[in-house]
Amino acid sequence: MSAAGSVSAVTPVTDVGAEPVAEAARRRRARTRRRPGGTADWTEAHVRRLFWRAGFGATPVEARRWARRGRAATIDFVVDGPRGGARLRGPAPRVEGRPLDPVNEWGHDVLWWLDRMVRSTHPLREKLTLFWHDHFATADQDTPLMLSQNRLLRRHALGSFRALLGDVTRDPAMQLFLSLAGSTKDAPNENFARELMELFTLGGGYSERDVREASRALTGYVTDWSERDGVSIRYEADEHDDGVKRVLGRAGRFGVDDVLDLVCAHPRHAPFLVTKLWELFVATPPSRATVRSLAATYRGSGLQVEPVVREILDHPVLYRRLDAPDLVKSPVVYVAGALRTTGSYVSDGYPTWLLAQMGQELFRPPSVAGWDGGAAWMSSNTMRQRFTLANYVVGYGRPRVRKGAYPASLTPAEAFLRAYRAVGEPQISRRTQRALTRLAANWFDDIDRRWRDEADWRADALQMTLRHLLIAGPDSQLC
Amino acid sequence: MVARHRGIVLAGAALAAALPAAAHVASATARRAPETSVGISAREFRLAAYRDSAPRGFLRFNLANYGEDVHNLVVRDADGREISRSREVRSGQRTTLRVRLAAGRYRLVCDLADHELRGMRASIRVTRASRG
Amino acid sequence: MPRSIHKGCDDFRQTSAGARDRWLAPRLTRRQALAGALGGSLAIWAQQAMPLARIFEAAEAQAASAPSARVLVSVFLPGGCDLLDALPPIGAYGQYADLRGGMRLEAPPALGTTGLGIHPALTEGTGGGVKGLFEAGKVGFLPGIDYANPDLSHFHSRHFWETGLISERAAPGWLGRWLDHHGARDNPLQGLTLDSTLSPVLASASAPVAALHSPSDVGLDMWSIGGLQERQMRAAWERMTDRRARGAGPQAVHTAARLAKDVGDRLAPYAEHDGVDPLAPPVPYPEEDEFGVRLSRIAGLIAQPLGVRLAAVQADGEFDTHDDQPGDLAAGLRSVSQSLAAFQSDLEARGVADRVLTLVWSEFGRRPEANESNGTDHGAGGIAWVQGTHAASGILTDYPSLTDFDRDDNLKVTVDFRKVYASLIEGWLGTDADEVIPSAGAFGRLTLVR
Repeated sequence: MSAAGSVSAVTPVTDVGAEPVAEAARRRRARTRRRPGGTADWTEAHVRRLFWRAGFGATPVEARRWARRGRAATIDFVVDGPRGGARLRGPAPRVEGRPLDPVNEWGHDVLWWLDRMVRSTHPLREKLTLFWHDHFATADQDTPLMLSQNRLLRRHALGSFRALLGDVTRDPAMQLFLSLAGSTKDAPNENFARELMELFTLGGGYSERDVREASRALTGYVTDWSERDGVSIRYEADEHDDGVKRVLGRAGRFGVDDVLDLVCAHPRHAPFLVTKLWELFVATPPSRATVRSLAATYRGSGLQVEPVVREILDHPVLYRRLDAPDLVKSPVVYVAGALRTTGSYVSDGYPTWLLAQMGQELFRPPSVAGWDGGAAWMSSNTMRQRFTLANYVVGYGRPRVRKGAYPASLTPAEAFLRAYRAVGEPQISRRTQRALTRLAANWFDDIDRRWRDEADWRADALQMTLRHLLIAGPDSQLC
Repeated sequence: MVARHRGIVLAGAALAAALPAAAHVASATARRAPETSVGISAREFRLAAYRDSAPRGFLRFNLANYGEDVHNLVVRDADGREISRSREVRSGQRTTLRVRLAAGRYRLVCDLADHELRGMRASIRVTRASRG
Repeated sequence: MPRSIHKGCDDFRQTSAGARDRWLAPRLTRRQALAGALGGSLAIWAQQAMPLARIFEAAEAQAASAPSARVLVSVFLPGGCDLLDALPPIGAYGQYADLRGGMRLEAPPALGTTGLGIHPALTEGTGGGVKGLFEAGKVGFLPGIDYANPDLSHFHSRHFWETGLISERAAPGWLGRWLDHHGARDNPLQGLTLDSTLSPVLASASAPVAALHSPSDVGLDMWSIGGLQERQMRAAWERMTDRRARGAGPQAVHTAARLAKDVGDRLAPYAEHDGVDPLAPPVPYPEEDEFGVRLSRIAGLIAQPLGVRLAAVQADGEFDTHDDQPGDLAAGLRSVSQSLAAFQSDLEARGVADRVLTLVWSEFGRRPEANESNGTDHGAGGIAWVQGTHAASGILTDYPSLTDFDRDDNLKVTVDFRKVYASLIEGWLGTDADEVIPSAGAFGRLTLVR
C-alpha cells in the first residue's frame, strides 16, 4: 500500500526493541549526564519527586536507597527498569475470593491495570502506558479489544513513536472507535485523519483539505464480523483509494504508512509531542529552549520516546521547589500511589467506582481528546471522592489499625509520628503536621483526665483519623 | 449508577464499623458459589460473548449495551427453549443475568424487535468440567 | 439529508467522538464530562475564586433580597420527541393515519376544542397529567417549534437549542448567558442542574452555577467516627488547607478541599437524616421514577431560601423512537406526565407555584411518515410547552400542515425556538432578550406568560 511518490524526507525509523537489550541499555545509560557530587544534591526529596512524577510514588525504603545511589543511577533505574526486566511484586489481587477476570467481569479491567501500577517494578512504563491511553484515547469498544490495545501501548510505551503510531492506526479498538474501519474509497471517513493531525501528531498547521486528502490515503480497512470470531479488521486493496493525494504540501499516491510518515516528518510534530510529554511530568510549561532541546533529542533519536523522557526526568526544573509540590495527581496516580506508597494492594472492587467518581475511569476516557488534567481534576466533588478512598486504604490496606495497639498515653507528637510512619512517610507541609498534632492533642478533650489513659479505644480511632487525613489531605493530592 | 455506588459505600461503611476487630475484611467477604463470568456486549447489530465456553454451573452474563437502542439477552438451549432472559438495557447501561446451566450448547440472542434476525446472536458451549 | 429506512441514529455513529466534542463546546463539555463521572455530590463551576465560605450566605442573601424572584425550569426530553403522536391532529386524522399506518394512535383523547388530540400517556398522573394541566389553564403548547433549515443531527440540534445560537462554535448555554448578565456573582445555586453533570443550557462564562444530585451525597465522609471527633476532624481538615497556596494546581487542590467540607456543612440541613428528608415533597410523585425524584428536589430547593433562579433537568424517557415508537413513546410520556403533574402540584402545595415557570423542550421533531420499523426518523417541527400557574394556556403556535412538507418531507417549522427564548426572557425573567439572544428583535415575540 506504500506507493509511488512517497516521501524521501522522512527519517528512517528503527525500533529500539530490535536492538540487543544490553547494548541498548548501555547506549541509553550513556545519555544520563553524570553530575558531580554525591548525596548533597540528590536527597530523599529528590527521589520522592522523581518517583512520583515518573511513577506512583516512593516508599520510605526506596527513598533512602536511591538517595544513596545518586542522581544518574536513580534516573537510569527509573527509565530502564530493574535488570532482568520488569515484574509484578507482591500478591496478585483477589476480589471476592477469586482472581481478577478483566475480560468478563465489569470493572476488573480497571483493577487489573491499577494493580500493575501498584506492583510493577518498572512504574514508568505503566505511567507512559497511561499517557498513551490519554493520548490515543479510545473508549466504548469490546473489552478484549481494549485490553489488547492496552498491551500494544505498554509494549511501545518508551519506544519508537512511529512504530507506536503504526500499530495504533491498525489497532481494532482504535479503528472502530474513529471509524477508520469501514472507511473506503467510495465513502472515506475523516474522523481518524482529523484526530491523527489534531490530537495525535500535530495539534495545528494543517488544513481541512489535508484532513480530507489524508482520509483518502487511509481508506481500505474493512470490518468482518462473524458469530464465531467476533470483529476483525482487514485491509482490502480494492477499497483503497489509490489516486494522487495532496497532503501537507506533498503529492503522491499515498497509502497509510505514507500519511503516518508525513505527519511524523512535519515540523510541528516534534515540538507538539515533546511538549505533551513534558506536561506529563512538569506542571510549569517548558521554555522555548527546552522544547527546542527536547525536539532535537527526539528527532535525533529517530522519534524515540525514551531519550526525551530521560532528558525531562534529568531536567533541573523537575526538581524545583521540592518543599512545595505543584503537580496535581490524576485520580489514577492518586489511587495507585496511595496503595503503593502505603504498602497496600488492590484487594477489592472499590477503586473502579471511586475512580469513576473522581473523573478518571481507565479504558473510558470522556472523549477522543482524553482527560482534562491539572487543576481541572479538582472540584468539591472529586475531593469528596478522594477523601472517601482513604476509608478503604485505612480500612483494608496496610495502614489498618490493630485494635489496642495504640495506648491513649502516647503524646500527640508520638501519635502523629506513628500514623505518619504507618502511611509511608508522605511528603507533608508543616501546616499539616501542626494541624494533625493539634488534632491528636484535642482528641480526648471530652473525657475526664483521670480516665484518659484507659481510653485506648479512642486512641485507635485517633490513629485511623490521622492516617486517613494523611492519605487524603491536600498535600497528598500534589506531587 | 448513583444508587449502586451508594450501596457499595454503605456496605463498606458497615464493614468498616466492625473493623478493628476484623483484621482481614477483604478476604473475609463471603465466598460465593463457584461461577463463571461471561462478558457480553450488545450493539447494532452484534452480540459478542467474550467466552466461547464455560464450565457447567452458575454463569454470570455481564451484558453491556454499547449501542444506541435498547437491547436484552435471552439464553436458549439447543432446542430453542428459552432458559432465561435479562431485563432490557438502554444505551450505555449494563445488567447481569445469572443462570445455572448444564453441559450443552446454548444460544444467546437479543430478541427485541428484529435484532436477532439482524445479527444479534452468539453461542456458548457449557462443558462437563466443573470449576476447580 | 437522506436517511436510510432503518433506525439507528446514523449521525451518532458517523460522527467521531472528536467531532462530537467539538460540536459540544470542548471546554464546557470536558468540564461537564469530568463532573459527569462523579455521581452524587454538589459540583460548583465558578470562573473565579469565590469567597467560598460565603456561598451559602450569598445564596440566602440573594433569596432574602428577592424572595419572590421568578424561577425558570428547563425540562429536556432527549432524543427528539414526536409532535404527531404527542398532539395528534384530530382535525386531520385521515392524513395522520395515512402517514403513520399501523402505528397510529386510535381515537386519542381530544384536547378541548383545539382540533388536536393528546397522547393517552399525557393524561396520566395527578389531576389528569399534562392534559389535566392544560385543561386547568396551566399549559401552553408550542407545536411546530424548531429553526429554519433544521439540522437533523442530535448533536447539532441539541447544541443549537442549548446555546440559543445556530452555530457550531462553543458557547455558554442560553440560560448560563442570562446568569452572566443578571445572576449573582457569588451564588452557584442560582443556576442549578439536578444531575451529576452540568446541563449545557446552564453552562456560563462567568456566573457561578452548580450541579447537584442530592443534598445527602455531599461533604467529607469518614467512617467510624462521629460526634465531637468528627467535628475535630473537620476542624483539622480546615487547618490543613492553605488559603494562600500558590500556583494553579495547589490553589485548585486547597480550594476544592475547603469547598468539599463547606458544601457538606452547608447542605447538611437539606440532607436526609435519620430517615427524615427535609426536602420531602408534600404530594405523591410516581413511584420508582428518577425523573420525578429530580423534579421533587428542584421543587424542594426552590422553596428553600437558596436563591435558585434557573434549574435544568432531563427526562428519562426514550424519545428517539426509530423503532417501536408506540411502546417507547408511551413509556417516556407517561413518566413526563406523571412527574410534571406531581411537580406542579408540589410547587402549589409549597406555595411557590406563582413564581415558577417550566419550559419543556426536545431537540427536534420526527418525520411525519412512519418508517418500516414501527418508528419514525429524525424530523423537523417538534413540540415544546410552557407550564405553570402563570403560563399562557392553549395552543400557542400554528400546528404544521400535514399536506405541505419541506423539501426533506418533514413538517414545516412554524415557530423558531429563539422566539420562545426571547419571549421567556422578556415576559418571565423581565430582562432585555437582546443581551442573550443575538438579533432577538428579529424573531418577534409570543405571549407565553399571563
